[in-house]
Amino acid sequence: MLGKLIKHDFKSTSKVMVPISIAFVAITLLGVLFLGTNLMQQEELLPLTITLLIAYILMLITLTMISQIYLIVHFYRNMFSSQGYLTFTLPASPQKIFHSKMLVGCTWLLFISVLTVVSALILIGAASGFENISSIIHEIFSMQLFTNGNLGTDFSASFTEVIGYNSSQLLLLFSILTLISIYYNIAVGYGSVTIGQLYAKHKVVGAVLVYAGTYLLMQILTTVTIFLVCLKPVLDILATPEVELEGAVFLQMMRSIYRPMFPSMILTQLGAGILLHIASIVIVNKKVNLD
Amino acid sequence: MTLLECKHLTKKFGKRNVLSDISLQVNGGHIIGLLGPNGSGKTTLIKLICGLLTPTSGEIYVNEMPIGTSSKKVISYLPDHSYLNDWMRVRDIIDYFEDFYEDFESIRAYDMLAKLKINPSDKLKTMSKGTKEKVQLILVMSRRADLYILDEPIAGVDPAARDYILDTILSNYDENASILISTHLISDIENILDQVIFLQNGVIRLHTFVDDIRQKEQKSVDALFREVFKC
Repeated sequence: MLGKLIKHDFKSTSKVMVPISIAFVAITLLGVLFLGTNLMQQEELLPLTITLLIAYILMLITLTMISQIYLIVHFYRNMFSSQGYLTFTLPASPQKIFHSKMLVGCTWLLFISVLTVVSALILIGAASGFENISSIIHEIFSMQLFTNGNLGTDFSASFTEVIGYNSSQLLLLFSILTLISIYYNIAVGYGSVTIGQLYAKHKVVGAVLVYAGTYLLMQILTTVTIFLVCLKPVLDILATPEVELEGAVFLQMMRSIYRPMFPSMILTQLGAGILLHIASIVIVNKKVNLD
Repeated sequence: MTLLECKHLTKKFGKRNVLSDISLQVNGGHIIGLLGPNGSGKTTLIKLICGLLTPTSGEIYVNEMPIGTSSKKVISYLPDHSYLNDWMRVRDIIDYFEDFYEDFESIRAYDMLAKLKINPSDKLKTMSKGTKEKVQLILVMSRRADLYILDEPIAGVDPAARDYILDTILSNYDENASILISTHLISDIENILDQVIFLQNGVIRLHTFVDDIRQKEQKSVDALFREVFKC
């Protein structure tokens, strides 16, 4: 039954998600075509190049946001508007219905994330030659952020040394964070809609309020977490009597800020996602009241 | 075996009691009219049986099983409004029903569509309200369900279409199955009913056989309804 639910949800969402994916491809192709011209080499056209680069980034962000909003609206319409009369009378348990929608939503957002990365890599490759991509990445990681004279004598630190991860570790963490963020975004969106159904009237307003409340709570939680995990060690170092802000201490402070940042974000988002996921399951099982 | 049983069913919206302590039993092989004025709780009762609302208190059993996946397998439900994706073609919806309901017979659905000259390739959004209602009824009646629950199936269609709908209902349900029909248009359907439930202010005023009304009260269901619910 789960397979059938997933199949039909993919079919239904693809009506909008496929055109969005095609838009990603079209924007990338336009970028490649632009980079294929010699316009970038002309100094007087630098403002145009920068404008197009900003437009490209904004378009990717907009398409990603449209995807997320569409998936949440589709979930609402399919579950709690008139279409819910069909969805909730299917011979499937409410949690199976909910999980099928979670899976489909997460898969689409993952696909969009992959498209974004591939699009960026293609454009970097088109601008610099595709064989140079790995050397560009290597250059970024070995780039000296601090050199002799910045902080004391004989001190230098690469990007890797400052953030505390090498390129493979950072790639792994970034991939995990992307996956967890996708799960979190879908869980928050679908969870807000589901919790909003508990309001007797104005359920959509309720869902928006829950979403805004969750966003605010997460901002506070993230700030507190960053303070406790990342900034407190720095304050402890600074509070040490007679500490000298020389290179090694500075590097230690930078690392204590950046190194726990990814794991903290991963754990915070995973925790919040699981909480909203569980709340949604309880509501669709025990508290469904369609208008 | 009792097909449908409600035990002390109560539903409140906020502080307002919409259904109060409803208890009823329905066996297989009957056509039951669920009758009552606006706001009497007919649709609420139907939605509770279909699992679209959660009771405040009380229990509901279908084939002696609580409301859940097993009850949804045997209930074929027609809501009082359009509930299908407008962008879907009739053929897509038939595939959808065939995928999910083991008792759905697509041959019957296509046959009924052909009789009504409805093109299966048409999208719902291109159809009139009446045609959409006919498509929904065709889908619901193409199942071999134990319990058909039809909420206002003839409310939005012309008298000629009403006859077709009633004929479709009668000629497509299994004689061991039961049909629960909610409607205001009593005179149109009273000839096909064999039981009636009168609901008033969330309470069952009467649950009896139509023949008993005719013999004991010497009245039609329509006449009795007008008398009971006189404003």
